[in-house]
Amino acid sequence: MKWGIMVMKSKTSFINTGILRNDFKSFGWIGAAYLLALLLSIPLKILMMSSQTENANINDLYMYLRIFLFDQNSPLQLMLLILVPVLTGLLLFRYMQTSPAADMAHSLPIKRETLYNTHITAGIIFLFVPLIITALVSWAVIAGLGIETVTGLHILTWLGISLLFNLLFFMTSVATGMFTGMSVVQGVLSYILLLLPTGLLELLLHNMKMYTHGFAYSYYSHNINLSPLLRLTDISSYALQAAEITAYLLVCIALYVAGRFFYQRRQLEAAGNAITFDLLSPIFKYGVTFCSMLMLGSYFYGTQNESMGWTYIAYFLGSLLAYFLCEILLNKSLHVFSFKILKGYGAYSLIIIMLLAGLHIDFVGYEKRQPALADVESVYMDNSFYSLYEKNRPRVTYPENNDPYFENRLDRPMPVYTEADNLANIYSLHQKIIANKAAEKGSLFSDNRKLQYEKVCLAYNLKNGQRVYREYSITTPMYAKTLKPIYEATEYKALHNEILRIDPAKINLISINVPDTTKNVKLVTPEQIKQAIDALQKDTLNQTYEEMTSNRPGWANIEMLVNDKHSYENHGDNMQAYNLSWNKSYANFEQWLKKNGLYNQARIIPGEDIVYAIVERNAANTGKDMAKSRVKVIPTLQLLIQDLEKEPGILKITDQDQLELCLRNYTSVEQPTYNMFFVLKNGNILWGGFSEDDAPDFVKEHFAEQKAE
Amino acid sequence: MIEAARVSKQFHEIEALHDVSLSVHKGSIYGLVGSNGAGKTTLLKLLAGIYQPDSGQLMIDSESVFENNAIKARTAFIPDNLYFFPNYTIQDMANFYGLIYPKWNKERYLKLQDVFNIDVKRRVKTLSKGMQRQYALWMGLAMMPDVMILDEPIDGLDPVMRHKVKNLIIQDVADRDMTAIISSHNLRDLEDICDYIGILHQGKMLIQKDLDDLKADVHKIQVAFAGEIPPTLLQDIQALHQEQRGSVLILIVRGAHNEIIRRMQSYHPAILDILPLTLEEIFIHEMGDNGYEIKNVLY
Repeated sequence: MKWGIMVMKSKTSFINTGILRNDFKSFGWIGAAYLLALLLSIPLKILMMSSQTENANINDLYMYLRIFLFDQNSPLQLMLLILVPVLTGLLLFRYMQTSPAADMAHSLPIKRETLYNTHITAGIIFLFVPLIITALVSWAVIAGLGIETVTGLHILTWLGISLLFNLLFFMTSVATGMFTGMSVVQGVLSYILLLLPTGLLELLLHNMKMYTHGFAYSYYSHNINLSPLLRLTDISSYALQAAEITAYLLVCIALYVAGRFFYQRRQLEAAGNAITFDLLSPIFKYGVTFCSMLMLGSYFYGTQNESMGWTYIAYFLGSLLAYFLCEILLNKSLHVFSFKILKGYGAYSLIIIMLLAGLHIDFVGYEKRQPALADVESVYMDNSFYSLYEKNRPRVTYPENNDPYFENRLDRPMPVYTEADNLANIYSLHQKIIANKAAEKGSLFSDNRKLQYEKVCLAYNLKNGQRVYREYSITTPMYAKTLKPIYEATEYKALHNEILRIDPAKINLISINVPDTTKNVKLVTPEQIKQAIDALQKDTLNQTYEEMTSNRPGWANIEMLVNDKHSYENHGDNMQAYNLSWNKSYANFEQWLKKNGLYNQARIIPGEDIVYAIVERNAANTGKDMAKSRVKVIPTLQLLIQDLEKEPGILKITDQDQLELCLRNYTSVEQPTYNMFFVLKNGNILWGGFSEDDAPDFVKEHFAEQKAE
Repeated sequence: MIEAARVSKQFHEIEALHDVSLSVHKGSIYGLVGSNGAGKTTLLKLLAGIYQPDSGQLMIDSESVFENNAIKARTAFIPDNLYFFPNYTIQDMANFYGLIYPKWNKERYLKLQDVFNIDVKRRVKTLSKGMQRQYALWMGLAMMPDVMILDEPIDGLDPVMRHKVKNLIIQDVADRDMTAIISSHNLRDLEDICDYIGILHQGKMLIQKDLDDLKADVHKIQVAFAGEIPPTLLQDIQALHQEQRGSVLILIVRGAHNEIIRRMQSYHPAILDILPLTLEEIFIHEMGDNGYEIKNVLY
């Protein structure tokens, strides 16, 4: 044994076999119980699953693999991995937290270091042996059942990750135990420490976002997961990287060294104290106060409509409460309202006020800072940083398993702009957003804001390799003019329209389906498919900003099925398809359909499909009682139409040209001025509305006359 | 053998020990007396290497005790507040100590079973308080220690048990030249077994004495004279304390027994009596002015 050699060499024995044997006698049950629970949650689960499904299909086979992926599907397993290591640390070092036990253990002729190492060795054995046995048994069961989706490598990976995280959680618990004198505090503090890296970062970022216009909160927030505890729960989505494994191992070593350091300097009489080192008490106290302040602040900010007043009240309450609770815990007394203690809180408040004032003044100039356009090489612009952090943190996919759970879509290109014109346009958009800070704040909670705002996420790649991240919520109508040139640029369109990236040779079927009818056109010959896609591409490139952002429903849905044998055979129903709406502005496609005699089958035609249409003025917009707003109370559209026809003042349309005009212009905008209903021959009702601007003249005239009467 | 030099220890704002020194010779028994909170337990835990002093030194055989395995292996500490592993039987605990203490003597452990007469298969926590103390002493003695540190080992025991415990300790001291330090809040409990007594009060060592010297040295004398008390007598004798009850003069005097008698006889007293002093009286007189203040401590 490796330790045997060390015992020979050094004067201080690394472990004491007597203590180790006693640990086995006293705490061996931990290992036994852990093994039992692990066997129940893994090999037994596999056996149960295999006995339930007689003819296992691909999905079920994948379910076996999921057991080894730490996903939410195995809650018992995850719970064990998180709870048992910390609990083991608590129990093995319980003797330090009660005075008689600590006295007894330390009157023995064994050095503290030896005690420390021995208990850690015992803990590692209690945790590791059950995991290793479970892996072996699982492997035997998998092999015995002949489940091919789970390979030895999967089980080995599972084992490796489990061992690593068990060690990390256990060492956190052990090291924490050295500077606290209460088992409860040790347990709670262990989990707090395990969550703290993410929790604190998240709190800081969220609070930064409250103060700083344009702070790229979501970029920083999603990009990293520093907490090992939370990391374990998303390993199924993001594989553990070598760097992370190294970091965790280093943290384990650091925790071991820190624990040993604190143990050797620990005053045993501190058993029963929350914090055993006087020097650490203020860190603990102000740390908890700060975190509690940020937490309550974030909570109030979220629940009180981003009101800064409430946030400050929450800061005050959160910090005050935490500060005095800490004092009570540290002094083990309720008499904490002394001048000295109040002074400590006063000093804390002063520093925080200065810090907040600094943030408000934005003394580093963060909000106004924009890199010089000449220095910009490219810009990432999107309504989220999703593509960026997906690239930074590759998601786990299982191509070899034909995994239907993970989307298999056309790779979305990174929305990065490099053309000089676009850079300049985006740059001026950014300028305008910065200049509009105050105006945006005013419109933040106006009624219609929620419908019309969008997120703008920017990442400048500078020529010197640096990056600048900004994130804004903007009220879209305020920026229409600035957005127009960006949206109409070919670069933008190429990034946002799948149709421009489709290879016609890969499509083996285009199906055009008209909603609310059974009308349908199928294109199957390669020639037709190519021509149709050509036309659609041309139309996409011709689209204007207004057409892109309009709410007019398309004529039909265009579905393109991919000619991919692999995909087809394995997925059956899950065959891959791209969907596209045939927008009413697509003139080339319309022409092409007409030329090929398919036009009438591909859309609703007034004479063929529509009996008549009804337009009414929207009750909500005429100032009538909102409850009468029909769309909300009707049981079916058909009943509504029957009802509506009896109402005076409605407009009933049967003229084909008028119907066509209505069809082309109606929108699906919320709270329209006019409600529009098309009664189809098949009994279905197509409905939408007009805003005042969209409405055809004859509709406006009809209702203007109504009003006059 | 055991040496504490200017030891101080603070618990937060409370000073438990202030500048305490003591020394115990090999093969002797040191009695540490003090009221509750005087610092006895703290001092003993420091001597056992459990606590670290803020200042001063604690040595056994000229070696510092703290984190010293060799010294601790020869030391048995029997605390006031016993600890044993939950659900362990006496035999389990004996097995444990056997693994830890190199000088553990199994024969002695088995032999002592006859003395204590407790079933080794009983769980320690099911034993009565008196039995638990016996169990602790049993374990301590089986460790064959050179130094035994006992925190209030006889307080709260019935007289038969006290006697038994004292005898066992004395026997080891006599047979094996063991050194013992025993604490109690009652001086009387210790006077018949200790060679030295130290009195701890509010963290300070008030006084420490070799009992043999004390008892031989200090005497209580009752004298009466037919006539006047000879005026030179008081100057000659230098009493620690004097008191007159009627014609009887009571003196507490330091000096060799025979010498005092010889000197007193030279004044031709009508009555001369030399009376035994209780240990308390000796201490009270020894401490002079402080003596009466801490009278309560000693009883």
